[in-house]
Amino acid sequence: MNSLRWERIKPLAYALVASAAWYCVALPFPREIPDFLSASLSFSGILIGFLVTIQTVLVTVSGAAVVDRLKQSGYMQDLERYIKEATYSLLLFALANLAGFFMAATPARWFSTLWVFLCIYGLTSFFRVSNIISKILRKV
Amino acid sequence: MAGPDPEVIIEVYVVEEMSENYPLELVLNNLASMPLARRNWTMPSGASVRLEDIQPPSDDNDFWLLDFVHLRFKQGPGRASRKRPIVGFDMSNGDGFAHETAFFYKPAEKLLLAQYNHSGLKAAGASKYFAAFGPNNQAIGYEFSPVLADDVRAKLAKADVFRKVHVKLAPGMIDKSYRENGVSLDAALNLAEGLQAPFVEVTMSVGHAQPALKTQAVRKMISGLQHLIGKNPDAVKKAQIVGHDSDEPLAINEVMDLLTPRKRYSMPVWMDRGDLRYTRDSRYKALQKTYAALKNTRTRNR
Repeated sequence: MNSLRWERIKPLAYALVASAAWYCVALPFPREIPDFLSASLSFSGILIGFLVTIQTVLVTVSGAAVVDRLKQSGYMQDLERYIKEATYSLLLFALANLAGFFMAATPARWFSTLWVFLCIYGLTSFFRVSNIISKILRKV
Repeated sequence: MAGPDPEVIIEVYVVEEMSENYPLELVLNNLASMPLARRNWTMPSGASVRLEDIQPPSDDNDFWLLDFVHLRFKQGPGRASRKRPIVGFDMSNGDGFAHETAFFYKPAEKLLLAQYNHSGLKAAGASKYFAAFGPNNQAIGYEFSPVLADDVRAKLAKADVFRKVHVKLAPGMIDKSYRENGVSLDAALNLAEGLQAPFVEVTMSVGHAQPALKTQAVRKMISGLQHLIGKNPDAVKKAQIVGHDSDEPLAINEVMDLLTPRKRYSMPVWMDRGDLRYTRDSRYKALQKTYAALKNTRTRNR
């Protein structure tokens, strides 16, 4: 598999492995469920806010040579896709946290597995974008 | 309104097979037995390519004729005339636009002739297509090196005194070929970052003390540059060799440019009535005529 394909599927692959491991090990979820979900909801909100800021930054550097090269080479499509993927996965993670408030005190195993999947998917998607953006900004 | 007769440009390449056990013919035989739908291939860049027609050698011919289509689904032209406004084509769901490019391959000479179509598949893309349908092994692939124009080739062959080599490369410039070769965005940015300057320009020249550059080393460099030009034309911005064919001090130096004077032929083609596409038959004929012209030149030069 070439590095571009791996870069595209990496967050999904990590999330699948992590959630499968979680499901098999079946670790307990934290006892203070509402506090825990509230904290992770805030955390996902911060990351989504950061992604929106990143998009604004990209607009301001759109005239830079490196951004121009990325557009011409077709890599900008990949970057747009990565930003979308990170935003939507973190939104889904936020929704899962909200849904968690309606669950019983001890969440079902499927819910904690879904929570781990979306958490890892969102985080790795976010790190992929922030890593690339920092490299672009170094070249502006 | 009758314009000049339409012509296509044909470029000449030499095929290099990475492994002797997997000649290009093996892949072509494989492709010839495949149904059309299985010949679709998506390039790492996302572009769709398909070998639309393949004509194996016969009792009369010892060459292959191939016709590729480069499919485009995102955006396309409309239909208009000088009197009528532009209207769109009536497209069904899943339809796109296809750009055709014909190829001619003569296995005995490892010679590939490629029709040049700006929007179609290029020779570098075709080499990747063949590799994708070959054995699943990174070490097995096919390289198509462009053949230089006769005068440059003759000068290079005759020259045995090289006085200057001037090369300008753009190794750190992110271009389409990175994406087409499956390099991740992160790795592409790393590569561009590692090299602070967008271009590397090297000039090797002999001073007054030395008579010439080492012939063997320069010849190796020339063949390396030709490979690079074939694989990624955008990466080489300048490749000039200065030399002459005699070691007399007063011999006139010749500048040999490896980039611009590629061997190219212009051949007539025609369209079907009511259709603005050059017919496959006319493009195949243009390729065969190019081969005949090439053969004539070779015979004359002997």
